[in-house]
Amino acid sequence: MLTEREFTEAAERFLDMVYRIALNWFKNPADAEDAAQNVMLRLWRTDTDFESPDHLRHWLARVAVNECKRLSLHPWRSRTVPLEGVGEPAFADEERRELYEAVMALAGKYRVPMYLYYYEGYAVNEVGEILGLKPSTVQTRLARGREKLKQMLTEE
Amino acid sequence: MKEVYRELFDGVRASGRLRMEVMSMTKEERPAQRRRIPKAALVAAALVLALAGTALAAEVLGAISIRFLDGDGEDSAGYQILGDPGRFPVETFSEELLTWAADCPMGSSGDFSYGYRRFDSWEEAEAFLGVHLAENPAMALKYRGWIKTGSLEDFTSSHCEVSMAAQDDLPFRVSVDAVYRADCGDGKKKMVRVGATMFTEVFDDITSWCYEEGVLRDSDDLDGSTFETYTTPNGLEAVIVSEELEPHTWGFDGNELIDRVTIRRAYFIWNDVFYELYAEDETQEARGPDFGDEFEEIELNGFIKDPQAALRAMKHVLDGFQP
Repeated sequence: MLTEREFTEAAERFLDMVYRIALNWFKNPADAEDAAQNVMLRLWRTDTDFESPDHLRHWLARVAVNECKRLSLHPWRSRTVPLEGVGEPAFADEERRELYEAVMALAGKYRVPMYLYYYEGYAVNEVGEILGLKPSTVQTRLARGREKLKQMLTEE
Repeated sequence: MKEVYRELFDGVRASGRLRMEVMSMTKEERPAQRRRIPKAALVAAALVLALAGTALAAEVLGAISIRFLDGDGEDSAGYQILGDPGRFPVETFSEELLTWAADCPMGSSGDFSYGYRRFDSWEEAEAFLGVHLAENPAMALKYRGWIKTGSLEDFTSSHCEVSMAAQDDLPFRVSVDAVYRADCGDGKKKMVRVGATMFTEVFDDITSWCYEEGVLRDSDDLDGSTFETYTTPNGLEAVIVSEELEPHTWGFDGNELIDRVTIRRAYFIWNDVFYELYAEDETQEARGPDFGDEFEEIELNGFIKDPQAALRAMKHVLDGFQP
């Protein structure tokens, strides 16, 4: 189990990543915060021995994806929220907000792989491992997602 | 593209409130090391279930299997119910349901839409769906029980509820839930919830990025859970999972009471439909001025003095499914 200090360091370093993965999954900050909180609680309680910071980061990315899966789509656990309650993060300028809206307008199956690949810098096979997808599927999703995003940004 | 993502997400951070909540988690007591269920026992249980599934192989009965998670890696400890219910063509459903699917509001993910409707009977729900699900005389007994609605906090009294999830205006999951009062075998009755879930072809597009293995349920903990297969006289094979909750201790006027609850869930696939039955066994023990000096089982507040009453009621409903 992590010591208090190790946990605090891990949270300082990786909480944003966990939150962003969840945000890419759910699209709204409230659900993303719920998921991120559950993931960090699992980290606090896990007895996994982490061999390196990379191992810890990869573990957190996988747990974040699993937690998002768990919170969504369950037959008896699908929550709806009114549109006005969805919200979005605050942005310093209009351009960035528009870019955010375009990214979030992508389907979930493109959003999450694209975030992991382009922002977190995971390789295609690592993205596949985190999401439980074949590398060829990840490649297709990245190509299609990129195409769709470019299309949307050009249209704007 | 990397630059675009860098520019965008560098500015997206967890809120200060979330950060504070996470940092204060270290004040929370960590559970003692989880009691590990011996791997051999898990393998044995899985084998029994797998063999039972193989032996069935009848057309109308689908196999259910259980994947045990030991919690060592990125998964939580617990179990996942795996099955391969059929995929219904969207056209199987009534025009009314398809119109409803197109009108349902979007959920929080923004990818899927959801809807809920209440009915007075299972038959009315079937008529709305345009699909006949199951013959079961045990389900003829109506009871207006508590059925959870779409919102997590909102509970309402309803006998039967249809819930639906859709993507791009097409349903990918349609569920019917109803509550019955079934016979425990001693003249008393217990509440049993019956849920039937149908998946459409649209579901496969979603599982391919979300649920690779068709996971239908998971649980956070295996402690206090037992697994058994149950075969009805009609040859229906179900997996029953019993989960003992932590006893709840309370008291009044110097009396001490202990409530014990065991949750029972039965899973099976019948005519390509995934079913989940739910019931709760509750018993109570007490000691003190109004009872004896030692803890004794009592019958109070509707608690039945029988830890297997709901299990029998659930089996009664299972037995009622007709081929």
